[in-house]
Amino acid sequence: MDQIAGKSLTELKRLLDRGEVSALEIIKAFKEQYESDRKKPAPLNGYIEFFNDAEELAVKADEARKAGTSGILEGLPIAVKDNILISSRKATCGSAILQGFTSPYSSTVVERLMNEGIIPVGRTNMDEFAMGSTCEYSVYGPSKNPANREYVTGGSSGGSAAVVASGQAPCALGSETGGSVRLPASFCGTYGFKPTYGSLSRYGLVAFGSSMDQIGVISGDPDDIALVISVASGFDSNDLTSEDVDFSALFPLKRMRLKGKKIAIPEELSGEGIDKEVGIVLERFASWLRSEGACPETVSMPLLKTTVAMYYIIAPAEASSNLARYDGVRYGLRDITGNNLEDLYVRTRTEGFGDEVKRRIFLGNYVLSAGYYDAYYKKAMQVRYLLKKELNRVLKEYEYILSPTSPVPPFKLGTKIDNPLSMYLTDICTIFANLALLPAVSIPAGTTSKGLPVGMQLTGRMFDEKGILRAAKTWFLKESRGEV
Amino acid sequence: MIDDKVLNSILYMSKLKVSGEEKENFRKQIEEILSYFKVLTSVDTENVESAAGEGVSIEDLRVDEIKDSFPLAIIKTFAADFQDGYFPVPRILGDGSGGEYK
Repeated sequence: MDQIAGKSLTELKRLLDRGEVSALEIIKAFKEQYESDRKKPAPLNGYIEFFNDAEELAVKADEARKAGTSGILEGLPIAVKDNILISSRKATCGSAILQGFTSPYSSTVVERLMNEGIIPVGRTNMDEFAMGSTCEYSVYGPSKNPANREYVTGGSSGGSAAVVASGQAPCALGSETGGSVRLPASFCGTYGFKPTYGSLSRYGLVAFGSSMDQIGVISGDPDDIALVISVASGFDSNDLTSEDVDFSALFPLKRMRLKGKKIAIPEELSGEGIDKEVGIVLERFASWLRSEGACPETVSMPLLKTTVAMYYIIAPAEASSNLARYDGVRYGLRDITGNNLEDLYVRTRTEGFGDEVKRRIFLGNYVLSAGYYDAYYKKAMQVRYLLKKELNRVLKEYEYILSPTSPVPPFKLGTKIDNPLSMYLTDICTIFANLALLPAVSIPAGTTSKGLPVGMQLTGRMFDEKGILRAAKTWFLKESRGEV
Repeated sequence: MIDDKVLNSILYMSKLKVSGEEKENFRKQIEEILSYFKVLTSVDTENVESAAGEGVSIEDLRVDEIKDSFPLAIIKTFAADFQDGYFPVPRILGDGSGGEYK
């Protein structure tokens, strides 16, 4: 079978279902792709680990298919971000503090996918504890952009985007708190989907900003995303913020008739502050929508100017609490060179956390402290309330919100690593969806003059995953298959 | 904007240490970020509810029942140190100086 490694999850499923390829052949093809990349002078560094027993699991999957006991995803590979737990596998969140940690249980999302026979093939690189927008804040070093290895992948799920864009996996799980799936998807030229908060269980996703954290999916084909969501979504008693949604009929996605659909383009995310080449791709995408009969219109949403500030108060506040558990006592790194328990905490955390994580823990504790709480945390949560109202008002009149996924195209490695504020501003287009709990998808919509990918983002109403994924599929059919 | 007292106090709460030469850069970065947060002051929030407190209502919480935890055999596999069914830690009482911060 030629070019297995370039095929999507749904194409591979079709081939497996027809018996035209075996699970073992599939896993071998992706492993080969990974191993050949490792031999290159500048490997992509997308995987932290490709599981040694993946081929063994593929043999079992082939046996299950022969015995007629297979699940609907039997033998299909998926890459998994290093902060989504898989039982008996290591999980480090790209951090030194979790070196050596092996998870005693699986996340609900992984478990549901594995119950249908999916094979997690490896752990993917990420910014430490998902805090970053470039995948450079990883203890394993940065992942590199498959379009040009001198450029960042975007983050934090940069490893997941890199392995999908380079054919080392057909599909990958990432996680989002402020755009960590959509941003790397945009930079690497893949689709990246963040479900509505609550559509997927957070159980087994290592906590960062619990009011926004959500597992997401990266693939080159929107149908792969629909397939994964259809299996993994729904209420989970281990996460009481998960919702009793039924997306079982999401896959396969149907083409969408866009005629007459009103689409809002935020003035604040489409003019000043948006890179010229990104603006050109936005205009091209809007023209396509118009050609399909949709009605994109520029709409002012002033609070979008404040989302970076809001997010970088709320997310670190939650992180400072969530990351208090890394204390050197129960698991992970442990530095006992000091004199007492206090020294154990401080030395372990100081040694184990990288600079960005330290900054965010500090910021979180600062904005929650007496004397600063009202001016920062309380204020941000009040503005968040207003933002939700503003977006829901817009989404009553308009079906979707269209914006670039990032205000800038991919940039060179090292450009922003020492300037945290500049790094944070990269997130300005994505974080409103997280703050307002909305579903959003990044769509590979074009390239810059240097051939670097540029993504456009559609954000939908709460739990309208079907709408935005069908719109993405309609674009996919035009771009990849020439269907109009 | 962030004097030594505030810096040390937040580091103390964070259980983190920033060494001498890194301290000024750390302070500068934090001050720059905090200064950017002022963009929020342009939003009138008088009499506005807070999004805090939204989420799961108490009626929706799962029943408070005792379930099995991980067996000790599993805990041992991920514990950095585990002896006689306990996680050993260094002595809790210091010398009264407040540890390494002061």
